[in-house]
Amino acid sequence: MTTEAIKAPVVSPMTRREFLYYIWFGSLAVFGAQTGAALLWFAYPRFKAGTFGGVFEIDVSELPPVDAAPKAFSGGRFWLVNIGDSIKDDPRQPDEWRPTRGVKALYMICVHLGCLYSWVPTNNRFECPCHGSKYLSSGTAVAGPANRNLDVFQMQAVDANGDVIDATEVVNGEGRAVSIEGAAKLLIDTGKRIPGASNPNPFEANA
Amino acid sequence: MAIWKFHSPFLDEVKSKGLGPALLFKTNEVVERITAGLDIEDIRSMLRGDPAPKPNPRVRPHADGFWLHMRPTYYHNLTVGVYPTFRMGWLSTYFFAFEIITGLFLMVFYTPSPLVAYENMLNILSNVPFGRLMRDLHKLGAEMMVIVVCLHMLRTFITGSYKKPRQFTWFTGVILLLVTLVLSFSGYLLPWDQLALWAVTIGASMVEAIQPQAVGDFVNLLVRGGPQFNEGGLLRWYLLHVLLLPIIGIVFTGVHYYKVVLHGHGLPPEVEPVGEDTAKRTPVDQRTYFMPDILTRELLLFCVVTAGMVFAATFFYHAPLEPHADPLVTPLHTTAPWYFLWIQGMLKIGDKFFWGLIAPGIAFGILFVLPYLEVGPSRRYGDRRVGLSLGLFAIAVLAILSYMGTPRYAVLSSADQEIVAELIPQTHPGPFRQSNWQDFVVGEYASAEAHSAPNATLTRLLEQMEEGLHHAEAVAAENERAGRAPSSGAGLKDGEGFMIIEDWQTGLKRVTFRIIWEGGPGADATPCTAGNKNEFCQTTYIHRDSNYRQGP
Repeated sequence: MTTEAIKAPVVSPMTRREFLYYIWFGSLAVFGAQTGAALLWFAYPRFKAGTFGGVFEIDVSELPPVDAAPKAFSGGRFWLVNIGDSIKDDPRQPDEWRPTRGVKALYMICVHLGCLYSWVPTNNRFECPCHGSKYLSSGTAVAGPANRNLDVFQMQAVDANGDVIDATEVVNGEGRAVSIEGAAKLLIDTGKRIPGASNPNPFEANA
Repeated sequence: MAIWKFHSPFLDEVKSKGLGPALLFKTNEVVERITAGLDIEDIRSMLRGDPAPKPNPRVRPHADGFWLHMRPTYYHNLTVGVYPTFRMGWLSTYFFAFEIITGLFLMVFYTPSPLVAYENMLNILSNVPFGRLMRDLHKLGAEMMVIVVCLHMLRTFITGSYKKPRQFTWFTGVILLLVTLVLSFSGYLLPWDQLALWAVTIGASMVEAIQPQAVGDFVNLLVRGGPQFNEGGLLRWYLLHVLLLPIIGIVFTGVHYYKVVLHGHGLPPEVEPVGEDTAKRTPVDQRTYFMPDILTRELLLFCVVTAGMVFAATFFYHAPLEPHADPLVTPLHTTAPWYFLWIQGMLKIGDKFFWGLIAPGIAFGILFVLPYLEVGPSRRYGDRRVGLSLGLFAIAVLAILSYMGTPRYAVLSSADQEIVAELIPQTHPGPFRQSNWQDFVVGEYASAEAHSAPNATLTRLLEQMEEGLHHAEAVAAENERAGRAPSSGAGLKDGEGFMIIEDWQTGLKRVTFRIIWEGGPGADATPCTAGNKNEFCQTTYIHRDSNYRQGP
């Protein structure tokens, strides 16, 4: 059974009918592909872009104190962290992304797989309950599978006259903290998310 | 001349034979039509245990009927025992049918909308007669189906039954495995509880990792039905669960069955000459006919398994229902369902595109083409040492990755939170919610004095707290020796635990778990004041009628 010699297929010239069949099949395939694309287009959800993406106005009195635990603003899906010297000089902070003094609005969602990380005061850092990514309050990823630092929202610090004193700038691949000296309000644009800097940190089990 | 004609052969029969014999004759004819070839005497001869007459009328339903044409007419005597099939293929089909039937019952009381889905669950659990049983059976059946399908594939691999000519049967089997896994996973979202929302959020975030990013974003929106899981996403997963996947499953079960009838059941590898497939050359004296022997055994197995499922779902297994989905809180220790823990484990290693998509893609790809890769002619165990060893190695890797997928690996939070999470976990009922409401006597109890608590339930909970504190103390001491911060790796120094039970409303008690440690407020300070350092408090409520207590 298995030793039977395999015959080479006979190659015969194509007839007109055969050729027309191929043309027909080919056009059917193109039609099928178009239908598939139309189906994907049909299945694409309709939604209002940036439903939560408005600008949030935060009075400086609502900010957490300098170097205190970050404060959550669920409506805008961000944490506000007020970076002072002790966060800046945290020995766990890698130099590459050492923050400056000021305020950052960290996007609430873990950059790994979309869970909400939480603030763990005992360990003085954010920890993700799903796959164990850990972030310092500066937003820098220090352990776990996340491969970039936390995303931040574009922010402007304005004084009592409404003049912009400082605004988020991208430094070293990520949004830096905004200085709030002399500021009265912060304008946080949740429609403008700045991805964190790529940070393929070493995977540290049980860190 | 008659203006109308009335044809009634039956009346003619009555005229010629009399009413009794004519009725009997007609009944016999009806039975023969329904069974596609067996009359009353044929059936009675089977039930009496008579040997099959020649020619055998019992093979007629296989040739003429739809249902039996997809079952073999006879089996080789060596394939009808427990070995070599362990009935796993039959059980897979059984559970598929079982899920369709129990699922239909649940669909009657379910609306796929985030506004009411969770309420529907509560209604099914507390108001619908047999609703809880039906839900438990559906969930237990789903778990069993995953187990049985995996064991079926493992058995097929070990006995080498996927080798020529059955490669394509295996291929369709892998499709059915995927259908089983996605069916089970898609069912996760439907109760709209915390477990559902976050397990599926992780799953959808994995497809977001597809590169290039534009494709990932597109697919992400397709499966979520919007930027966030909500009514759009729930409806999509519901339709996938109740319509698309079952249809794919039924179609490929048909193909799978056709191939099984076509090639016959493979004999045990040791009884066949190497490289030959003799399944379709069963000698006459080695045959066990489907009717009545196999059919009888299958009926028995059907009764035993169904009774076992009902028994298990009544006394031992209850499908979990977590609190209502909350898009603003991810529960601590959210995990994938157990059969996807290996992917969750890989996701902790590194890049989500590679470990979440490419690596599982390669694994399933290899599974699909396995019979075209292992082409050695022999199915005998002794001749397949390399193949079998690699298979067992792969299973060991799966086991290790699955362990890495559990919260024990690299997700540990701080000790205070972990100890309380052991008592009131956010992903399953846990010891607190499974305790009797009456046992929560109002008062404040210290874990160090667990034995003076008023009843065994409180003692047990406090002891567990104390055990956790002891463990954390040991970790902290180890940290100190190694020069690490005392809290790293869930260590805690000088921890003290308290449980505060208060009457809150009629039939409702408020329970606060409080842990203080080195540098925190003393045991006598006002507990749980905002801003306290080195103190952790978590409050939960338990209601007299909440029926959290799982089991009888």
